[in-house]
Amino acid sequence: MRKRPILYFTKRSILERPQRIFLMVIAVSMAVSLLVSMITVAGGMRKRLADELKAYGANAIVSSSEYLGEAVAELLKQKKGVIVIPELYGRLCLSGKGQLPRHQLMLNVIGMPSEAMKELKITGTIPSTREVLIGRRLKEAGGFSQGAELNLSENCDSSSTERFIISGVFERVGPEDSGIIMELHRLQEILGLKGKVSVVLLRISPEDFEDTIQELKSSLPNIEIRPIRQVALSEERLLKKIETLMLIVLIVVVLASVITVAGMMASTIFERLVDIALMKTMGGTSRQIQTFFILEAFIVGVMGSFLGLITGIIAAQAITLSAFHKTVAIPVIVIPVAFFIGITISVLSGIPALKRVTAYRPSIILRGEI
Amino acid sequence: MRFFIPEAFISAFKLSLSVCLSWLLINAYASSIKEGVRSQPNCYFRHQLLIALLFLVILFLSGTYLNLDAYYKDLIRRFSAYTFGILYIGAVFSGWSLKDKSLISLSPLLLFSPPFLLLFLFGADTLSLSFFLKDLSAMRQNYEGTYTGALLGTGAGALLLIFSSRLVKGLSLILSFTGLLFSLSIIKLLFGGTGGYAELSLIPSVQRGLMKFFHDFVHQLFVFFMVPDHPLLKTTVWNFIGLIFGESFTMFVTLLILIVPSLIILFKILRPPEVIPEGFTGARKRKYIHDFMTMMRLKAVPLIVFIMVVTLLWFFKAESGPGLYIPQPVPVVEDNGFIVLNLNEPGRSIGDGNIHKFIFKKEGQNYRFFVFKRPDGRFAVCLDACEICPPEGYGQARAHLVCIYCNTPIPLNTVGEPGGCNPIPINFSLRDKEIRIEVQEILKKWRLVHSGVSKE
Amino acid sequence: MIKVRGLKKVYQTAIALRGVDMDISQNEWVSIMGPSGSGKSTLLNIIGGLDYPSEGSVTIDGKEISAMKEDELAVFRRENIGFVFQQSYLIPYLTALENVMLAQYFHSIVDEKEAKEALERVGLGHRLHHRPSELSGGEQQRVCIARALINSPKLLLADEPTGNLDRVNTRLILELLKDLHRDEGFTIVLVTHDPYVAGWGKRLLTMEDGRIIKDEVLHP
Repeated sequence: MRKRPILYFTKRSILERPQRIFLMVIAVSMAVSLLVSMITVAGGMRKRLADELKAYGANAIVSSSEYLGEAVAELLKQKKGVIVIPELYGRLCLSGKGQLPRHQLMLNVIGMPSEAMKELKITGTIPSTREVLIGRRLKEAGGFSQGAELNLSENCDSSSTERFIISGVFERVGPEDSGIIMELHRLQEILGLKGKVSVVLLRISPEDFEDTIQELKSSLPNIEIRPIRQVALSEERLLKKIETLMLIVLIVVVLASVITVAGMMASTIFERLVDIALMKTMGGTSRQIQTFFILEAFIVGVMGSFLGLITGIIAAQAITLSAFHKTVAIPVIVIPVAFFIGITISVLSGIPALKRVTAYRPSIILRGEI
Repeated sequence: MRFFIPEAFISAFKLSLSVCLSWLLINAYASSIKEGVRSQPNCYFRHQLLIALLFLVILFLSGTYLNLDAYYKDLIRRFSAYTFGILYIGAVFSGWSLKDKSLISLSPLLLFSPPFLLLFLFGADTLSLSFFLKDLSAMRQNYEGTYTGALLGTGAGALLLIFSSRLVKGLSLILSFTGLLFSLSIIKLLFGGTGGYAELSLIPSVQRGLMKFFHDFVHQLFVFFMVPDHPLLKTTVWNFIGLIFGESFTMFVTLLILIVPSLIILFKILRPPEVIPEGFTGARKRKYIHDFMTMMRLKAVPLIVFIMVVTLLWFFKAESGPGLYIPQPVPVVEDNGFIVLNLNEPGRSIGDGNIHKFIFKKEGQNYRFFVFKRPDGRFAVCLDACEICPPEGYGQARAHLVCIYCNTPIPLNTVGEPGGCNPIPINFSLRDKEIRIEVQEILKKWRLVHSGVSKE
Repeated sequence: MIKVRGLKKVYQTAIALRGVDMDISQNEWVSIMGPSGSGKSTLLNIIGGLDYPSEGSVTIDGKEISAMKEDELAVFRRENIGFVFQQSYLIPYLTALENVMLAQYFHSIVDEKEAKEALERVGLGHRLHHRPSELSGGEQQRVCIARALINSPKLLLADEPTGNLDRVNTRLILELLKDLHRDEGFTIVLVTHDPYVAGWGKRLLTMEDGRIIKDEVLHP
C-alpha cells in the first residue's frame, strides 16, 4: 500500500470478482490466441514449405541430348535465387558384400557436388571423396548399414575396384532411391567424364518460376529446360488461401472478443455506479476515477494476452504437427504483438462505457435514479 | 615487460577525475534543488530551448550537406549534438534554479556563451588526447602494464573525490545561481570522458588483458588439480565469458557513464520533501507533500527525456557502429615485378591520413592491399586482410582501422605491425615520392591470410 | 461562509426548489428540517456541488460553486467538503481503514497512521481491518464520518445520517458529531426529518415545498 495505493486498490477490486475477471481474461485470450497461432503458423509454414521443397526435389531440369559441360552450370549459378545442382548419372558395378541378387549389382549412381548434398535429406554425414550415400530402398534391399564398405567399379568385368564407405542414407522420392550418390568429381574420374554432367537440376522459388524459366530458355537456346514438379506451386496457392481464410476468421473472432469484453466492462462499470458516485463525492476527478478502471482493464489485458500467447503457441504447434509432422519455430515478434493486441482490446472496450458513466452527476446516481 | 605504464596511469587518472568531478557537481546540484519548491520562472527558458534547437538544426544540416571531409563532418555533427545537449539541459536547469531576479537580465549573455566555451573546451581536449596517442602500441602489447596503470589512475581519481567532498557544501551555494555553467561542465566532462575511453580503446585492451589473465588462471587451476579442463570448459563457457568482455561491454559502460549522473539526479528529485513548513499537519501536510511531489515529477520529465534520447542514440550507434570509411580499391598493374605508387597524384594524396586500397590481379587471383600514413608520420603498407579472419578487409573509423569481419578496432599507430587481427604488413620501399612494392612479397604474404599461423 | 442566492431547481416532473436564500457562517451547526419532498436533500446536494441548480448561485468561502465545472468541483470538494449520507456508502471490498485511506488517496497522498488515528477518534480503533459487511449500522456510519473528516474539510454536509439507525446509535452518532464539531471547528449542515436530531443543532431551518419557511436559533 505504501508505494502505489492505486495498484493496491485495483488488486483488491480484481480479487473481489474473480469469476467476472476470469471471463474477461478468457475473452481477450481467445482473440490473442487466434492471432498468435495465425502468425506462428503463417510464419512457420513458409519456412516449412521451403524445407519441404528441398525434400521434394528440384522443380526444373536442364538437359540436352549429350552431356552438358560444367560451363553451363556456371552460367546458371549466376541467376539469383536459383539453386543449381549439376548431376552426372551413371552406373557402377557393386561387387562383394550384401544380399543383393545378381541383377541388382549394377547400381545407379548420381554424382553431385558436395554443397548440393547439403540440400538432401540425409541420415548420416555428407560423403567425402572416399565415401558414398545410399538410397533408402537400396539400404533396405541390400541390408547395408552406415559405415559398411562397398566395392565399386566401372563395369563388372573390371578388376580394379575402388573401396567406398557408406557415410549415410539419403531420402529422395523417385528411382534414385535404389542407387548411390557420390561426389561429382570422383564419379567423373571413375567414368572418365571429366568436366561433364548429365543434367543440371534447378530449384527456382515459386514466385519467380515462370519468369526464370523464360529467361533461361532464351539465354540457352540449344538446351532443354523443363519444369519437373508443380507440387510447390500449388502448395503456395493453397497456403495463400489458408491465410486469407484465417485472416477472416481472425477478424471475426477479434470483433466477437471486443464485443464480449466491452459488454462485460460496461456491465462491471454500471454495477459499480455507486462506487463511482462515492468517489466523486470524495472529490475524485474524472481522470482519477478513470485511472482506476482502466488499470483494471489493463491488467485483464495483460493476463489475457499471456494466456492467449500460450494457448496460441500450443495451437500453432498442434496445427503444424498434424499437417507437416513437424513443430514450428516461434517468431519472436509474436510476443509484443500479442500483448499489444490484448491490452488494446481490453482497454479500448472499456473506455466508451467509462466516459459515459463518469459524466453523470453524483447526485443522480446516489439518488438512485439510474 | 613493464609492469606499469605511466601513460595508462595518466590517461586513466584524467578520465576518472572527470567522472568523479562530475559526480561531485551533480551531488551538489541535486542538494541545491531540494530547497525551494517554487522557484522563479526563467522567462528566457523558452528562448534558450528554441535557440538550442536552432543550433542543432543549423549545425546538423551543415554537417550533412556541406561537402567536407568525413572527419570534419563527424566533428560538426558531434559539436551540434553537444551544443544541443548543453543548451537543452541548461535551459531546463536554469529555468529551475534562477531564484534571484537580478540574474534574469544576465540570461541573454549566458545564452550565447555555450558555443564559444564549447570550442575552447573541445580544442583543449583534442590536443591533450593526441598527446597520449603516441605510445599506444606499447599499451596494446602490454596488457598487464596497461591494466595496472589504468587501475591505479582510476583509484587516484576516486581518492581525490573522497578528500574533496568537503567542497560539496560550498559548491551548492554557487550552483544555485549558475545552473547553466554547471550543465555546461557536466556535459563537457561526460562527453569528453567517454570519448576518451573509446579513443584510447583503453577498456578493450584492459578487457582483453583481464580475459587472458582469467583464462590462464582457470587453466592453471585445473592443471593444479590435475583435471582435464577442455571437455568441461568448452566453447559455451568461454563464449559466455567472452560476452562480458566483448565490444558491447565498452558501449554499455559508455552508456552508463552518460546516464548515471542523470539517474542520480532523478532519484534525488523523486523523494518526499525533507523539510515541511511549521505547523502543517494532517490534510494540509499531505497536500503539501502531494503538491511538492507533483512539481518534482514535472521537473523530472526533461531528465527522463534526456535519458531516453541518450539511450536511443546509443542503441542506434551500437547497432550500426561508427561510420566506416571503406574506399573502393583502385586496380594497379605490375611493372617489372614491382608495383609502383606515386605519393601524390592529381586528385589523390596517399599520405593524407586515410587508407588507400588497391587491387592487383595475378593468375586469376585478386590481391588487395592498402597504403596508409599513420598519425605518427610513418607509412604502412599492408594486405587488406589479416591472419585470423576471412579476408573482408578493413574500414577506417576516427582513430582506428576496423576489421570488417570481426569488428575489431586496430589503433592507427599500430597498423604495420604484425600479429592478431592486424592487417598483414608487407615490405616496401619509399623513395623519391614513390612507394615500391615487390609483387613476390605480396604473393608470399597472402599465403598467411586466414591461416591463423601466428594465432595466440 | 455559505451564501445561497435565488436557488431554483426544476426537474421534468416537479419543482424541487422554488427560490432559496440563506447565509451560513463559519462554525455553525445548522439543521434543515422538513417533510419529504420539501427539497431539503436537493438543497444539500447543490450546496455540496453534487448537483447543479437550474437558477441561482451558491458561494462557499467566496467561490461560486454553481459556476464550476465537474473536475473543478471535485478538487474543491475534496479539500473543503465532507459528506455523510443516510446509507453508508462504503466500498464493500475494502476494510474500514482502506475506505478512509481511499479518501486520502483522492485528496493527495495516503497516510496510514493518520487514517488509523481518525478511526480511533471515532471509536473504531479495534475494527480497523473489518469490511463494512462485518460492521453494524452505527459503526458503518462512524467510518463514514471518519472518512468525511479525514481531509479536514471546512464544511460537513450530512443527509439524514441517522435515518437508518436506532435510538441508541442515533444518540451516539450525534454525540460524536458534537465532539468533533467542538474540537475541529468545521461547519455542519445537517438535513433530517426528525425533530430530535434537528434539535442538536444551533440553528434550525424549516423547509416546505421548496422554500425555507422558518429560520430560528436553538439553544441560545
